[in-house]
Amino acid sequence: MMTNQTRKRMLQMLSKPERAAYLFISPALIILLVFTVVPLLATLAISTLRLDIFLKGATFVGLEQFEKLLSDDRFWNALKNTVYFTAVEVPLQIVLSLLAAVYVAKNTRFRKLLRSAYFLPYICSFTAIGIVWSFLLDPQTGLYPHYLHELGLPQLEFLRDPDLAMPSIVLMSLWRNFGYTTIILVAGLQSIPDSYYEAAELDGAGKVKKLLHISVPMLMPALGFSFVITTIQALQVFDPIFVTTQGGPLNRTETVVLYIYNTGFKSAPFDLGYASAVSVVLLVLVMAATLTMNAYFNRKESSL
Amino acid sequence: MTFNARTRHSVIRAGAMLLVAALLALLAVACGGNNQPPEPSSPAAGGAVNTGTAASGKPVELSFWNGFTGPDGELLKQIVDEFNQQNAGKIEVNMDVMMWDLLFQKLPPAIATKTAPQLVAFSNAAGPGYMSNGSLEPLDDYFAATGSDPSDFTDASLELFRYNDGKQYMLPLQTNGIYLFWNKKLFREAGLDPEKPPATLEEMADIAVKLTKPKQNQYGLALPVKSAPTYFVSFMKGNGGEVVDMANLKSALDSPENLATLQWLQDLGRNKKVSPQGATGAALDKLMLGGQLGMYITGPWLTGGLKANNVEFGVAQIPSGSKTRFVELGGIGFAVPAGTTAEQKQAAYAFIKFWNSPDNMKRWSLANGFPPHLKAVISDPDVKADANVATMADMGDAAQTFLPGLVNAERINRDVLFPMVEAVLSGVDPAGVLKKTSAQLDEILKTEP
Repeated sequence: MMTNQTRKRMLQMLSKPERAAYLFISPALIILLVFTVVPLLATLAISTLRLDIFLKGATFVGLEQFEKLLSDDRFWNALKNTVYFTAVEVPLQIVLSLLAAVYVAKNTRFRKLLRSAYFLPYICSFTAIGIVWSFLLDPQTGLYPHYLHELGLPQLEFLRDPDLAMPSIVLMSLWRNFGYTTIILVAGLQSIPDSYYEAAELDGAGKVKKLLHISVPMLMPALGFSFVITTIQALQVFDPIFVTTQGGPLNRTETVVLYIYNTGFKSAPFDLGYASAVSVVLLVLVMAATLTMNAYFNRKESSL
Repeated sequence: MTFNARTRHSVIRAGAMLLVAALLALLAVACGGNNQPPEPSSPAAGGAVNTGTAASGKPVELSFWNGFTGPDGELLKQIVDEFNQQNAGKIEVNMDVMMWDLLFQKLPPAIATKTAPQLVAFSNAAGPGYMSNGSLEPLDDYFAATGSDPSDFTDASLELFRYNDGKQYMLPLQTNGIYLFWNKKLFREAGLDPEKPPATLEEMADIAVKLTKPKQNQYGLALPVKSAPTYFVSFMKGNGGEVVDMANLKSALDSPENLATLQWLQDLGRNKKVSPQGATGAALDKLMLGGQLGMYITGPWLTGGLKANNVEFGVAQIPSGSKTRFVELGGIGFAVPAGTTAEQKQAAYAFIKFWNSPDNMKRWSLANGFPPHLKAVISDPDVKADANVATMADMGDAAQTFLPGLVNAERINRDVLFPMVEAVLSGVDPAGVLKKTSAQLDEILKTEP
């Protein structure tokens, strides 16, 4: 027998706004769980096993995969390439997008058009971009080596040259991604009140001083976000390399994610256990980088 | 009902709840609906081969995966359609074509989740990876079940698809060696006899240098550094070197013969620049099809494109080295993944027999320029009349498998041997490269089951 008290309480629970909220986010939550959380836990589990892609005969080996990793030359090479890529691409991209953002922040029609133009490469598939660029940079049939040669430079091999391959990929990545961070910084810039700039002008500040002492400090939240996002993307770079060089001349462009793919999925023996161990190391690396940067930028923001 | 703010609010809320419920339902259907395994058909007649009772019922459906995405795939489809017509109501083969890369990505998970096709075709090199863990059905009873004679096939073609335990896990669809393709027009322009291909590696090197004109984007000999057949093994073995000591599963790379071959290769590629630096198989295919490459050691799959692009070409056996001639034998075979029912396996046998009939084999051979592996077809006058196909079929004792039965064969080619060639061709000292590669090879061979 339901007393009036119980029924009242039940009705209260059912109509709480929180219940509706949970129901609304449940599709996204389910997708997140199924495609992010569960695979993450599975990767952690598989990294302690010896398992191949046929999912037969999993043997528990504890930390053996991680020990194997420590003495694997190819892994350290991949890590070196990834760190090189990140260390070069991220600062360049932030600086480039900051300069671009400062230029297109004003709301004239032309500048707004430029914003769209800068953002356009970001919405294109990295695979398509990679294919087009590998044609453009082909030493025999590509447009750019041909023109550069006409201008007097030696015949550059770009993606086939062990020393130039990674810089070419950095360039490709820069060209494609800087639009995204530009838009974020533009939004940040437009939220800075003009009164700061006017006050600075009254004190006789030039463009550079205004940029360094007003724009950049006020942009700290947006800059912090851009830095973190760009770093995470750079540490996980895969698409452009897979499409253009597949690890490149003499493994000079093989990054960690590409190494994971090659080990676990490319050819027999499809060592999923080892690939998962490498993934876990990458996860730790990305987490460490993100947490450090977050802490740094939070401190910067709060010191304003 | 008064339509005030409160009722509007509840209507909106009801509508929103409905929408969320619909989205959840959609999600469930979308995620759940994809993984339907093909249901094995009700027992029906096993096709034209066994003497089972022809029960009326649904035909046995076979899902057939392969990677013939090019023009040869159209002929394959035609043959499949003809088989389906002849066996209408009894067997139906559904061909599913995809790029080879995609096939090898989809097949292991499909086998692991028991949603594998009933029939699949892939290269012999990929075979051991599946044979070693029981993912394929042994096909030894094919000959008894279909009344075929193993001696119809060339010995090499059957041996190619046998595993270390002696069982026949795959049956030949096509076999081929790799051959020397040469551009007759470029030979003529350089003052060489266009009908006389080089017979030794030294001759080949000389001709390559004569044909190399980098300013005109013309090169003498293709030396790909990845995604190509292992042509350099012919060089190494031809000069008396060895790659893997198969009896003891150890690396035999570090030898004076191999060092000499690699130094010769480095001189050819780096100093004389007979091939574009760092070129892949695909790029060199294009160069050859564009008539800008003098010689290319590759497989019969190039003939179609060469004919289509009106390149005047010839096919010859790979030149001999200082000691012998070595031609790597490879091929694509039919396999039946484990878990296929007995009816489906018999139906698959029916199709394999249809494929390996002299008429169909002859059609395939002449249309695609591939050497036949059925003795009856090799001695067929029409086949003999086609100069290229006849040359390809006439491989003799030189044709052998390379790294037979090794699970890591593809990995060795891709991650050890080709990088070795790449390093040598970009100027790294061959002696050091050989030592390092030999150690790497030993590491991988230790993991063989």
